[in-house]
Amino acid sequence: MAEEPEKTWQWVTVDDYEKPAVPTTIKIKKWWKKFVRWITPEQEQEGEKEQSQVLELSFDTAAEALDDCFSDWLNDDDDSSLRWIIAPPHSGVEEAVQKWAEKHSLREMSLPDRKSLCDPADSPMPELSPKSDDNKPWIMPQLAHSFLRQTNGLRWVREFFSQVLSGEAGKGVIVCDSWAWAFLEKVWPVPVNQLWTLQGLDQNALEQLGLARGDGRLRALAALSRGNAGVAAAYSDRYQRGSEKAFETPALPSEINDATAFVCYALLLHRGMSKTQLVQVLPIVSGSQLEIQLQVLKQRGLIELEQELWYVTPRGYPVVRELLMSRGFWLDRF
Amino acid sequence: METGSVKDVTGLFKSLDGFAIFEIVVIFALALAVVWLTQRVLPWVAAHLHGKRRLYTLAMVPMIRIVVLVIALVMIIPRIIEPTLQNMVATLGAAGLAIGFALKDYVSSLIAGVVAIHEMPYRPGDWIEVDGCYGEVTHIGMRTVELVTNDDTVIWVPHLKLWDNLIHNANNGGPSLMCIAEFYTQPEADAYQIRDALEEVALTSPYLQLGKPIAVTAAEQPWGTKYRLKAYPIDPRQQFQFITDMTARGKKRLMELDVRFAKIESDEAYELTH
Repeated sequence: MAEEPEKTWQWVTVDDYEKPAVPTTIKIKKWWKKFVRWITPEQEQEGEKEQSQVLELSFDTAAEALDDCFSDWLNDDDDSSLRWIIAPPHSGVEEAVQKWAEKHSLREMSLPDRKSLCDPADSPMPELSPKSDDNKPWIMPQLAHSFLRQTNGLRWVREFFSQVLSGEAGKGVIVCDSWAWAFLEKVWPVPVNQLWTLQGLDQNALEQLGLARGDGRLRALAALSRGNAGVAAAYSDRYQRGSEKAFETPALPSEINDATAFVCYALLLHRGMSKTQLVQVLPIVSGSQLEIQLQVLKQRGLIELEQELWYVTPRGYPVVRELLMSRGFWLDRF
Repeated sequence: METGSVKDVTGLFKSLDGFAIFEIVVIFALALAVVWLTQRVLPWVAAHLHGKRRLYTLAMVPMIRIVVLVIALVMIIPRIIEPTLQNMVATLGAAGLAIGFALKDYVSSLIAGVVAIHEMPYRPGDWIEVDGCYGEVTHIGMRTVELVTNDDTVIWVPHLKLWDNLIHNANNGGPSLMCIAEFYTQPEADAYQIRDALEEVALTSPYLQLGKPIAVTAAEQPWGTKYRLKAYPIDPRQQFQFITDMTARGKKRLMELDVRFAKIESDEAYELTH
């Protein structure tokens, strides 16, 4: 009897998350590339002007798969426990959970206004309505948008943890970016159960998504993206062209200092920020220096401006993650 | 008798022909080349690294040098001296006499340098204080250790300080270096409110190493209360910027809380400091 192929989208607990293995040849190539970049004068790199024909991802199946994990809990009125969904940026988890929540008509919790989060005179607090009779669950769409790493910017999220973990808020689903979660575990160091995420995509899962099998390149794509669907999709255009060239990641700026790393880390931690918010969380970096860093990182295709918020791009994410790792920053688990 | 003594001394040494001299020169030159190369390449590589990787790479420099020089000596000595017990005792006795009279401090520093490599009271990349001088160890030489202070002043400290001086090592070979920002408030202020506010200041600093603890201590002084905010930066080289960030934001936060800072008149300050 043939073995049933594994599903592309699998929800697993965070402890069961597996990153695709990185083949030794890829590791060696990466070190070599790094070494060459050190010793050779840097060539100016054009920004990501090209509009890539990237693979379109649909998260309908992922949303349906969530039913398999959560349906018992959802239908059990006596169970008022919480479900936490943690995932790295661009992984598509937020979209999948959003679709699932719409299907089940979950009540969406309103996020605080970031403009008033740090105002010492104003103290916005989570508006969690009292537990209703039918124990209807709620959803927190993105906990990373509920705080700013600033002296006054953690009050809302602390109150949120206090209320939801005490059970006052009833049953609910909390979606949180992995970088924000790594930080919030330090802000509110209470271990929580039922941490879920989407399993990392290996070469087989990528193939099922619509990428043809290649001579190890699919494995290389899985390794580069660390199993992240959005990142793999962002690099999929080069793959589909059948090019033999290695995946070209955006290059880091020639001059990297603390400010560069702080900007990248703040954007990941808060899952996108405006320039004003960056000024608030990084007062040690002068306004002009901040502007310079944003422009340089944008030129390199590492970050982009979308609806007034700066984000790390899917193509830039592996590069930025590696930069932060090499500089000893506190990383996410994925 | 005299003829016998001369014979004894000359018997110590082998007759050096041209080939032996050539061998010695080649060994010596090769050893120097390897040492020179490691002293340039490894710090260059380390400059591109951060955290533990940088410190480990820097620590390899003196280690490689001592290993190379010992190997070179082991290879050269039998080419010059007949390695018998009698010869070794005679050579060491003569060397001891010279060291005892003329080169005591120099050789003491050299030996301390070897001990420093073995015991590792300081490694390249460490932040140490010796005789009131605080700086980063940038190079460990045969005789001296080179420190660079925060004001970019280079200080050469002889290794012999190791014998009878206290060496304060702030990070001890690792990337963790505790930084302390101090705040002075009037005694009436709510200590627990200040503690919470200062902990939040450290937690929200971009320099903070999140895996390490944050602590605030308070101590009563004649002029008010002294608070010490203790936390670790991501990289020891960020310590001064980290303290600056905590101080600036800490002051701002305390002012928001209407905490009044302790101030002392100039004559009182004089009394306290003298």
